Amino acid sequence: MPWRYALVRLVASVLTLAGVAVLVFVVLRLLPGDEITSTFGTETGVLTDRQIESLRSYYGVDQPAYQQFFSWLGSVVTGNLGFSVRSGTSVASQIRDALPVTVELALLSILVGVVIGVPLGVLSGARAGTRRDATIQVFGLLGLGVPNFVIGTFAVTLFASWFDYFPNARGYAAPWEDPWLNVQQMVFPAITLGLALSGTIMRTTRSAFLETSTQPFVRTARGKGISARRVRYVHILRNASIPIATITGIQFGYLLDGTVIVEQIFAMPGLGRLVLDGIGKREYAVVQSTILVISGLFVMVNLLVDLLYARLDPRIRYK
Amino acid sequence: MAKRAHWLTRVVALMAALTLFVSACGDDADDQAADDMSAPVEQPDDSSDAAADDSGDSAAESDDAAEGASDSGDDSNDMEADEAPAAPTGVIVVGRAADIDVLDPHRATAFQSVQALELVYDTLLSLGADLSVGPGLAESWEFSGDGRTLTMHLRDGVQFHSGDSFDSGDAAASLNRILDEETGAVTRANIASIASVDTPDASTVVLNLSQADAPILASLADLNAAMMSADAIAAGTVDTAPDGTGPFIWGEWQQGESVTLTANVDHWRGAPQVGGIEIRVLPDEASLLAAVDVGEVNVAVITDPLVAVQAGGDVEVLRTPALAYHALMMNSNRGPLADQSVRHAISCAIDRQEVIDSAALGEGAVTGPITIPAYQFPPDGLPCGGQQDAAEARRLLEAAGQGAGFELNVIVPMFYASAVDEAQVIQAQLGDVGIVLDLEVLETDVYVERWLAADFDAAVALNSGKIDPHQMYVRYWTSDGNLNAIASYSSDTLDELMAAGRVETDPASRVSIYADFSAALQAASPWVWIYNGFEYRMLNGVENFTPMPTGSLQFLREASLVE
Repeated sequence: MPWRYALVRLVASVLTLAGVAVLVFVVLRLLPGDEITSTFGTETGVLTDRQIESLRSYYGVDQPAYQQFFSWLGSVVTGNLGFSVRSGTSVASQIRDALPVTVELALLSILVGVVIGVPLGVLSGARAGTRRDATIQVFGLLGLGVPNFVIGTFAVTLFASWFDYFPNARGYAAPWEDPWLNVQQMVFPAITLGLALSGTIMRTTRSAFLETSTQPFVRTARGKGISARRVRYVHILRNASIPIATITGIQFGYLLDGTVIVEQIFAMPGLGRLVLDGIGKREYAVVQSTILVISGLFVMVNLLVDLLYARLDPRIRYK
Repeated sequence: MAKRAHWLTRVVALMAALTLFVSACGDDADDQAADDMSAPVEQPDDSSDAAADDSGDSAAESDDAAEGASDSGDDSNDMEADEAPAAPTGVIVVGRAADIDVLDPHRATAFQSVQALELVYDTLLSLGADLSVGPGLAESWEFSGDGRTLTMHLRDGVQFHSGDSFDSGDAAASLNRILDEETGAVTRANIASIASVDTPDASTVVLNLSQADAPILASLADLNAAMMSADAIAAGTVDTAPDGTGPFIWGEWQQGESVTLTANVDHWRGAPQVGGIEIRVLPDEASLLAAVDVGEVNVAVITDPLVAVQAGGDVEVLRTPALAYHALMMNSNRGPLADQSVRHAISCAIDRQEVIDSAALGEGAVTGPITIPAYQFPPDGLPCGGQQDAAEARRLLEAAGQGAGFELNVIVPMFYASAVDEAQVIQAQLGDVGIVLDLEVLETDVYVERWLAADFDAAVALNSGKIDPHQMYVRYWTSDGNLNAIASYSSDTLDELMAAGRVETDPASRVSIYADFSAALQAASPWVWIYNGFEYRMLNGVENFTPMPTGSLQFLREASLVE
């Protein structure tokens, strides 16, 4: 009964998000400082008490915490997700601008990660213990180990100084405004994120591949005289695909977090930047709503991955 | 099959090699990643009404600093609008790491906000490139004989971008808005000597002061005293729709991405040389430098010296000694630091040049308390002449009964790139004389909160400088200054000199008063003043741009694109 399963998962997801909402709200309030100290810095010290009082009401932090929570919750229900006093816009409109940037970046990164990671994993697993396997494994470790700000900064500096090429400096272009520029701006960030991802995917693919290749059906397939290539890419890979899909789904969640740094380096106005700036400026509504949206994406992707299992492996039944 | 594998193996090997190369070469570039500088610590203004009731002395209509102004940025003043120049074209792209945060100029303190809004708003008085105060929206001004009335004569025919004309009613409304505590204006304390504002006619504003106040001129030249339209104030739109009289008209703000400004061809100084300005946000300074290098950004604001020194190629680097100063603030209310000779010992134990060389790659110069170009006094009055003298430091500690050494808690901010390195160099130097520093590296808001509460033994700090020494230090070093509790030191001498400097309107006499003030402060050395660095402006494809020690970008109004 996939529908019933989906419904149960949906309810669980909503509960998860409610938990996230409360947690983020509480943690934000525990952080020292507020929008006044973050705006005025040490100049806060020259403000009179009355000035501070009036600014507290301006920034809406004079209300008791529970009241702030429910008024924010109200804004989530009505869909405008709160108001950013600083920029004079609703948080929903800020997220509407930032979300496509991050989703496009994440999807492209996944693509890069899968395109590099899966074939390498198969090549590596097919000849486990050989020099080729070792080489690929080293690559995987490097992909995992080299922080993406190193790869990103390196790519930017290298291409700028050698080829005078840094498309991201032209200001972000959405795909519907300037598709060609958008592609250029996405390539390097996607590769930067995708490389790290490919390491993980490669290692998962390799071990899943190795495990699957010991299964009796593989021997049977070989015995039937099917070509080694077909066995590898159709029989084994298909059966090894569940862990690969799982890890890719989980990685999508981490990607939303990895984009924070990459969005900084490549000047992309995505969700990561929105959260980071929001935290720096103590814009509670912005941080709360954006994290809620990110969590929603994360939950949704995991749900989709779970539902995908049945496709990948017809033996799986949901109940 | 075998062939395919072979081909892929080569690709993999190539990738692995590239990745190795990356990890080996990336080091120099990664240091600057992810630091969010230009946080809003300190900006314009000062404090307190250091009482000084010398009504009688200040002689007449001092144009205080106006003398220096005429030759600075104001040559174009008199061109007015009758010239009808051909509409300028082209857009200067300015790049910087942080996005603006506040659109209300009376509340803006972060550099990025101040520097953007300065292009949109005018002030009654203005600053030249040498920081001298000159005419702005007020063409001329004079103090009364007792210095307690400041009469300002406004420029005729000036219009807000919205089309309203600017007159004394707008000036009065703007000043009253700042004085109103409900506004939360940062410069209120600086102009609090204004008891009332009169507008005898449309082009005259009379400020009735509660006491003679020469440095108020500097405060009126600051963006935080921007002139807004009375209608906009009444309509409550000043925090969402900037409407000034400045050389550029506010266009669109795409949060986190850019601000676009268009030229105000009717500006009273004459039309800008370009059609507009786009201020683009590139959060990572290494990327920002790359953006200037490839010519996508014309003017980049760089704060991290470690990034700045890497500039090369087509990039023209402008280094202007900054007003902001790096210091080790000491809390004289805490433990051994209460003893002046212990504080002097710390000052003697620090090799300032080594701090500059190690933490900022030599990008800066040793400074005394005052960093303002017109008030430069050599830092030779510092303990041990400002030189490192570990033996003398130990002797002072011994004499103070602290020969065994002690431990200090030091707060270190994360909002500017060199802070942690500075702290570590100082830690090593003080370790040599037996003082153990416990460094607490703090996120900006946490640091600010601890700083405001004076909850530290010592603080590594980058405090912003001001254009007038009174503004700069009345808040810290007068006994009723509103940051005096944080500075934790005051003396009758400093109080008296500050009071004298406030009422003195003769520029030369002011310099000599602040020379005494600087000497007294150096002798007391409640903090360790270390150095001031540079304001970096990286240019590519722009000419006739004049940088300022304040970091202001106001001379973009004169800048043009290279053909």
